[in-house]
Amino acid sequence: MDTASLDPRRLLKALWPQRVRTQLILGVALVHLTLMTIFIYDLVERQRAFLYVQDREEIKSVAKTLAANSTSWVIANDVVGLSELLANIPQHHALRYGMIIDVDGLILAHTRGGFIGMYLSDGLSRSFLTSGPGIRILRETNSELDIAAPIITNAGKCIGWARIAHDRGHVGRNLRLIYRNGVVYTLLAIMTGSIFAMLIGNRLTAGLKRLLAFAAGIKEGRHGLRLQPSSGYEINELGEGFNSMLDALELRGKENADLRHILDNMAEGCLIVGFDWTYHYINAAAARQRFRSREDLLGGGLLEISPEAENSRISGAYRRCMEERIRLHFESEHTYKAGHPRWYELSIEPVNEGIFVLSLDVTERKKAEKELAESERKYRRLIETLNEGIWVIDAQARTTFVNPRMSAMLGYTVAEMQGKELFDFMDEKGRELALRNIERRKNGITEQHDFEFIKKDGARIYAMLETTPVRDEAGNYAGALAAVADITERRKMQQDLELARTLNVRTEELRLANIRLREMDRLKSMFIASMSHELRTPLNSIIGFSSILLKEWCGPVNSEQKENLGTVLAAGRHLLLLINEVIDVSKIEAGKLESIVTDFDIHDLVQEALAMIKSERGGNGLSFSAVSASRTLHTDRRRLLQCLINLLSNAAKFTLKGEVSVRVEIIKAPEGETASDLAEITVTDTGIGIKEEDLPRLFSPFTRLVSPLTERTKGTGLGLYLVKKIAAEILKGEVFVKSVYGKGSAFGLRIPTHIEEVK
Amino acid sequence: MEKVLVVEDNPDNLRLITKILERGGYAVASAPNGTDGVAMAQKETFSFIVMDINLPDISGLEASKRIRKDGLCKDAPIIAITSYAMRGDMARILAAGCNGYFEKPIDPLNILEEIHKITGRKK
Repeated sequence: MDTASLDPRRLLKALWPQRVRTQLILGVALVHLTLMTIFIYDLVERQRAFLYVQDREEIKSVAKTLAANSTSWVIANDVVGLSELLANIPQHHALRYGMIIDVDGLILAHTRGGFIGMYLSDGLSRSFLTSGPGIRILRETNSELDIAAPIITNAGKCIGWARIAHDRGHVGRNLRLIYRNGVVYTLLAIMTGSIFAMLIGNRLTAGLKRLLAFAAGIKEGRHGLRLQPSSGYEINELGEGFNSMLDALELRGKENADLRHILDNMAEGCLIVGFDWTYHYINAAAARQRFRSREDLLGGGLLEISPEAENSRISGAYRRCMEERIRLHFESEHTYKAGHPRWYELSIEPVNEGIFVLSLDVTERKKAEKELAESERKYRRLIETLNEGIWVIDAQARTTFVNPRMSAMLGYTVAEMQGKELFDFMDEKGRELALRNIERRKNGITEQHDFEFIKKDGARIYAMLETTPVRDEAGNYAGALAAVADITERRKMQQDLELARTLNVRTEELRLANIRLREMDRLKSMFIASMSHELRTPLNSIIGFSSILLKEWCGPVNSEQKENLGTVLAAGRHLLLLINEVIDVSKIEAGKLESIVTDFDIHDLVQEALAMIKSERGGNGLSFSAVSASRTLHTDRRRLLQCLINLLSNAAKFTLKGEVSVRVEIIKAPEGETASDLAEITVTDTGIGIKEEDLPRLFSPFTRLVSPLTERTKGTGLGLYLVKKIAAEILKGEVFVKSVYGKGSAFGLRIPTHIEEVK
Repeated sequence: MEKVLVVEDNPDNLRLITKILERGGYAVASAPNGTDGVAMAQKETFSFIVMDINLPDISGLEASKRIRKDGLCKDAPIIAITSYAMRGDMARILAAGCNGYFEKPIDPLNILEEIHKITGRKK
């Protein structure tokens, strides 16, 4: 089926000539042939038709004429006349025969005489006889026309027929002649046409050949060539067109050459890489970027030249552009030569033959960018992390910039401070001051000053500002810039430092004082020890030797001697007492008074004390008494005795007459308490008593009250002080006194019956 | 006659205590300093030793310690005589090996009784 459909077309194609010239000739010929043929045929056929029609009409008319003419003869039945008639038909009508017949078909007359008297018997002949009157064409062919015309009388009656047969061959002959002539003319036409066509064709071909040669010349590179006008208007037109095209091309070429030149020599690398990854074009700059010469690279395979570049970003971009046909623009680092990494800005575009790459070496720019970014980063970081706040206000004192340190200083975020007026961050007083400061700024003064800001939480902050005015391009005041340091901390630190220093000084002082104290303490101890030793040693001799002498251990002693010795001894003892008192006070002051806690009976102690006093002061008219029950105390017996003796001695000293009594009372500790019971020992006298206002001073050291007895009494003024101290420090109790001036006094000790030993 | 040792550097004090002890019926040997006292105590037997604390070379306490270490008087009663008698002195004195102490100035009339109390003798 396939071949059947294609075959005629292919066949036609195969037959039709290639060359235009041949086509022209052939075409002309065919056209002539076709048209002439059609024309002649049409003409002939029309002629034929016409001729036959004409012929028919002619014969019809002949027949009619004959019929008309025959009418009278038929009526008259004049055969001869009819035959004459027939014979008189002009020859040129080319009658084969003519006949006159009557309605029955009887041949009345006939050109071929022999037929007269015969009857028409064939079908054809008979067919018209029976039909109505009217001309009848019995047979009409290209060679013969048989026609019968009815003979009709005046009355309209058909009395017969005039039939003629006409030889039409001449028509055909004429026509064939025409045909013959036509063919000749056609051939002639074809021939002349062909020849003409050939001539023109040659002309055309020649013109074309010239063009071809011209084009070849152009192709060979003879750019200046232009087609010369010659015969053939169209060719000339074409030539002119060619010429102008060439001119344009040349211009374009020049432009291209210029562009090419620019491309070749511009600073940016520019290359065209084909789909086959070869360098279709590469300019000098691109070659330089690759550290090679253009000649090396041009036409070369990219990956052959630099196989290591296969996986580079740049190669990837090439590939992507080739495959996806998209434009790419990016920056990339690439090392065309080992050790020389550089940055390139690449633009890759798809073009017909592959990709077009514009490659600009931006290493320097990149470096500069990086340095700029680095610098910016550095400065930004500097400002951000600066320990000083940076505050910039505009001419309306609105905040245009604060760094984080500044905003943090005041307890705000940077955003919170942005745009706010300077005055928002201070109190009334501050605002006045700030206004004045701004005036100074407007006058161009740069200075350093302190300022008090108010933080977000209302706290005050002390700041030191270094502030300078900012000017716009025209030189007008455009605001101010301040570097702000928070000196609250500094101030506090200074204060703290001061404090610390003071503290240090104090500590040092304390340390030294402590040392001194300890030294003092040591000295005190030494003093006490020394005092003890130095003072007592001679006393040892005084008391000792006077004693043994008095006791007559060294021999008899007379009364005067005894008296004298007694005085020495008494004096010695007294001195010892005084020394002991002083030393005891020293010891107690130094906290070095020794204490021995024992169990003893208070009653016995009281008796002992009384005995001692009596022996010393007995015989003055004083009576002594004691009221105390037996009770075991657990405390320092010796010291208690010392106190008691002291009090008794005092009582005796200041009582001229009367009584000195001792009373011991035990006060029970409250129920449930773990405290010890108290022993209250009271020494009451009927002496001179003590004035109210003197009572507070009684127990102070070195206090001796002015009294009538002052002269007479001896004492260091330490007695009561010592008692008080001993009562408090050693016996863990207290002293008390009651007195009525002039009547008497009562001195007492109130001490725990049981104390713990102090280790 | 019982022999006792008195270690005392002050001649007056020595004379006084010697008088008292002799009165009490003791034969008194003496040493003017601690070292001699220790030497004597180690070499001889004494009924008791009276040791002055305040001695020129070594302290009476040190001498007592040494006597207690070895020698013939290792276990003899030692009675200290001191003029200091401050807090803790008693303990120190006892710790050094003494059996008791007196404070100066001594009372000649009572001292023998006191000594006997300490030595545990009735006389």
